Amino acid sequence: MAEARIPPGAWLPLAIGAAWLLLIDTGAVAHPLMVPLHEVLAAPFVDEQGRQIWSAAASSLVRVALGFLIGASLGIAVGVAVGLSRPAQLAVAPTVHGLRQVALFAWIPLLTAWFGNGDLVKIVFISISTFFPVFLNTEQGVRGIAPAYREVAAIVRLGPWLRLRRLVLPAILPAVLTGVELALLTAWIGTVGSEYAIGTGRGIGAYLATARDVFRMDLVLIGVLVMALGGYGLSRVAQLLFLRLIPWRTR
Amino acid sequence: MSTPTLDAVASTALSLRNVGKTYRIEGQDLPVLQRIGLEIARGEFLSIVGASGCGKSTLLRLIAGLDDRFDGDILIDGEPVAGPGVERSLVFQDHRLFPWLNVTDNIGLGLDSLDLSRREREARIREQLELVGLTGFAQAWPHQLSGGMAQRAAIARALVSRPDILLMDEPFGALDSITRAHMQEELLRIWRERRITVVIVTHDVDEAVFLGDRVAVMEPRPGRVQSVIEVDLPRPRERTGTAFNQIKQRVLGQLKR
Repeated sequence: MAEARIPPGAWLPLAIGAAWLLLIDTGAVAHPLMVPLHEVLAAPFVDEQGRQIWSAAASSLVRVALGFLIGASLGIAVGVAVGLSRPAQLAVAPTVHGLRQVALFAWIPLLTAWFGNGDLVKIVFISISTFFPVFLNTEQGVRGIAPAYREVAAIVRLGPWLRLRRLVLPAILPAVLTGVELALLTAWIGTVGSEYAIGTGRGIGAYLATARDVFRMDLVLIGVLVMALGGYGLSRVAQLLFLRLIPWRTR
Repeated sequence: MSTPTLDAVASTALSLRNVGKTYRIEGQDLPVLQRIGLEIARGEFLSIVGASGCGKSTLLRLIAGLDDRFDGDILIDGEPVAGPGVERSLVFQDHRLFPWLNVTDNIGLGLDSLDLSRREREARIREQLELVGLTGFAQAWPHQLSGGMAQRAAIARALVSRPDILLMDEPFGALDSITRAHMQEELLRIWRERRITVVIVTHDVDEAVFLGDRVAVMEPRPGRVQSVIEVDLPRPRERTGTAFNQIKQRVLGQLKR
């Protein structure tokens, strides 16, 4: 029964870890870039520079939270406005859909020129990476509201505010959460990417850049591992939000 | 049992005068309703029956105020309709309960536009739940209800704002025949208790004759009222009697023409 408790998805990482232990930790394969697994896993606890991963992860998480909040709020607000109002759609949608075509990291030269290379520019970058998936899904959600429900709202004469609260916002929630789930991923990539690409500062990205510069493969691998765990954690958060916020869903 | 029509014939609740409706499809005018004229008395129960495609649902949507592009006049107490109003309610063929609101809040939608105190609001919803027999299901989600219960909740949502005129668009069409017969009795009970005016659209001749004081028969392409048949049978009505069947045959005869 103990074996049955290991989820099927855990077998592959466990197998890779075992192969790593077998080939490298035993000394069967020796190369300056091949670091034993036990050293990598010990680095965040015993190594002076390795310990910095904790504060790096913390500042990345703060950054992703802040950038995500700004980007997601704007995405929902603009998405609802564009979805509900024809004039707003005509005025804003072409611009937004045009800007969406700009590859995420192509924003960096422009943004650093405007906002320097400190924290501000990273937050702006993360906000942008969050905005588009949330905006697109919200807009689709509003358009997808069944005409049948809109007629009910008309028959019971809901005013604009109650229409938003009773009909629009709950109706689009599943679509918005799909956007949020996507956006958490792009925001996390945007966070580490911007830390890596833009100048100085703390964070997992900066940690990775420093570790590479000093040829510490164990620290690079720890950085990658923490980034993967962070991304996985964020998508779990999104799934929990789904279950919590949509109790009316039949499952 | 006497019918409320007896003391209410004097006043007209709803007048349709020369009502017409045309859809424009690919540059062609397609008339769906033509010269509809009906006077519906306060407290009357009118059935509108017709084959599918005769425009009966369209007509009801016009009366409800969901569509204001039509010809002719629709008057409520002598005033032309302008959009949905608090004195009218519409029950759709499908219940259209919001899946994200429980039964109480779905019924409460009918009160959201009114400025009621919390206590008044709760009392009215409780009263409706009782009327439609859903008291134990106040907190249930729509997906937990059977088809008949969901439709009852939808009727409660329509009645909670205390409309004078209840419009129903094939409200029992999706129900099984046992539930349907039961819901028809319930509807008649509510109609008697509330003394409201009811206009029900149906393609079921049995239902139309069982419920209505009068049955308006519509014919399609374009939709017109072909004839209006009085159902002067005492209530409660039996669905099996000779008189009932004679009226049914008359309606069916009109439909076949």
